[in-house]
Amino acid sequence: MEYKVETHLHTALNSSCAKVSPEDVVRIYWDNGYDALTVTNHWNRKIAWKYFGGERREIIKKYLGGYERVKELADGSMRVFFGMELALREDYYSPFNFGAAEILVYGITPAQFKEYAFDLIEFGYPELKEFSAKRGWLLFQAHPYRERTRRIDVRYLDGLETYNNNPRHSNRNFLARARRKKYDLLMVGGSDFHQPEDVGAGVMLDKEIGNETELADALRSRELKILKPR
Amino acid sequence: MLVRIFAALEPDHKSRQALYDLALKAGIGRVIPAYDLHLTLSFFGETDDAERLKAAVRSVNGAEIRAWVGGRRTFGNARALIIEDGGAIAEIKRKFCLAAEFDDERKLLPHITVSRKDDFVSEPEQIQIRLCALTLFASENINGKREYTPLSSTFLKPERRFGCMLFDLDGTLTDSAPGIKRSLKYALDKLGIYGYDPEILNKFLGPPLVWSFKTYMGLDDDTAVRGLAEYRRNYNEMGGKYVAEVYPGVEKLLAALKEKGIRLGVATVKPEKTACEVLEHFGLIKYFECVSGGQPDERKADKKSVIEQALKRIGKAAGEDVLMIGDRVYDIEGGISAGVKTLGVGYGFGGYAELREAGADYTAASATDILDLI
Repeated sequence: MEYKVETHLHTALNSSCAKVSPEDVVRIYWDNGYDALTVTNHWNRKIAWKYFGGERREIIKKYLGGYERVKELADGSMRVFFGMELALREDYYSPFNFGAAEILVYGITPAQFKEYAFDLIEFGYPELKEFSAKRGWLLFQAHPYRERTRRIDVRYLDGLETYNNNPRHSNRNFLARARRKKYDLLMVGGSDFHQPEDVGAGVMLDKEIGNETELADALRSRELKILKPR
Repeated sequence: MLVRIFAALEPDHKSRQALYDLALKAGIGRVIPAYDLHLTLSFFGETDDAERLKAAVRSVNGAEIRAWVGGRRTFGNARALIIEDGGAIAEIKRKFCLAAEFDDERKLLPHITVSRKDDFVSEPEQIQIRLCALTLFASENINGKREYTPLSSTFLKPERRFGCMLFDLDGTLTDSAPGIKRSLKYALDKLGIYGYDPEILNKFLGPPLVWSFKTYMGLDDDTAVRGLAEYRRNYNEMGGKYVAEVYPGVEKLLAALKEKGIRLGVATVKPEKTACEVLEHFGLIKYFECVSGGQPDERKADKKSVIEQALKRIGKAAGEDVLMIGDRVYDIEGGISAGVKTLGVGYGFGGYAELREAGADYTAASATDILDLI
């Protein structure tokens, strides 16, 4: 069987860069024949303290809002998993940052996010890796060769995003593929969906998956095909 | 592999990029990448005690720090920018060392190394930077390149928000220099004064005019007052006040501040009526709860009293949550003596050096930068 999964998706109301409402996200992905979606909204100090701001509990509630709304609207038609595009310390993408680094985290559940959200953004990379390994999460550097991005030491990663479909950036996916091969890392590919035209990429699995842990297991097994739009 | 550990303060993105650009401008060819710039607090060398140090980093609480680049210095082969602040850096170091039970005997001279290869050609500009995180780094040489890996970090909390912001008009909201200079020239013509250096007219932008006439032109009291009358006639009645432009980003900034519920006012030594007309002309008046300006007899219009008057009209007490935003030393000094926080805009008539000397709490390079504060 073929099981089509989006692994990199942002919803509006979680960052100023994502433009598509949860309603439209569900419609667009349904029209494009996906079986499962992973909502990987941005999580970093800037999102937490500047974009949301306020009490910690409120920030978490607002952050989870996008994921929860997509899950609610999909209503079982597609599976919806939680994930995250994390940036540590000051490493989030911004026009002023010429050394950005963003990490896709898979396997983390919303309950775990609630518990550790504010620890995550204060970790260093070795600390994050250790913390994630203990909990069975996987860390993939997103679009490692995009402009204004620096490469994280592979010791602190499980894999790389070797295909990123965002058309508004120079992603240089071929370099990411070469780096993955060189260090024998895991791979993942995704649409990096912010706007309707971004849809189309993801991973194709050969079996159904039911939750975040199974998604991480599937990525770890390497039994997948990176999906690229024609 | 040799791994050495140290604790450092990290500048935020904008500051990193600004420091990088600054070093380039000061003639350094090979600047350390912007994302590696940091201010070292304590150096531990090789240690097995990383876990304890990580915990110490996490335990530190503090507010983010605004500091100034105060010159340059060479340490061995390292070329560094000296960083000056009011003692907050030393305080963070003290807290950290206490938590880490580390007795650091080295004297702290806050600096940020910008190159290990090239030297400065010229003096660096004195800009303000923001230090926003305390981080424990591991440094190692990988293929001859120094790599820094952040091990753990704590975010210094942004400072508290402002509930009320007062803006100066000329040089802060609008670039009124062309109109003011045109009217000054008219007034000096009328007084029969010629042959002055046109550059001197720049000094008239900001301070009360009678004072400027006396100070820069050597006029006596009566002639200065007459000069003021001529200036006003040209400026108010002959259209000088409308020869101006709103600075880029100002309208967007005001709209964003208003949306956030921050109370806004204008505090200018310009006559109130003129200020209102100018704000109305440029469609900015809708953002402000009050416009506080000079009364027709110029003697009353010093900055402190217009700030106090503005606060009285808004119904707010002076304090830490009020911010006076201006471009000249008079705005900053007025704000300080009125007991409010001050922000100097670098794009106006004064410039950074003047604002710093006056004791501005913050500076901003553009109107949109002011949004970072809230």
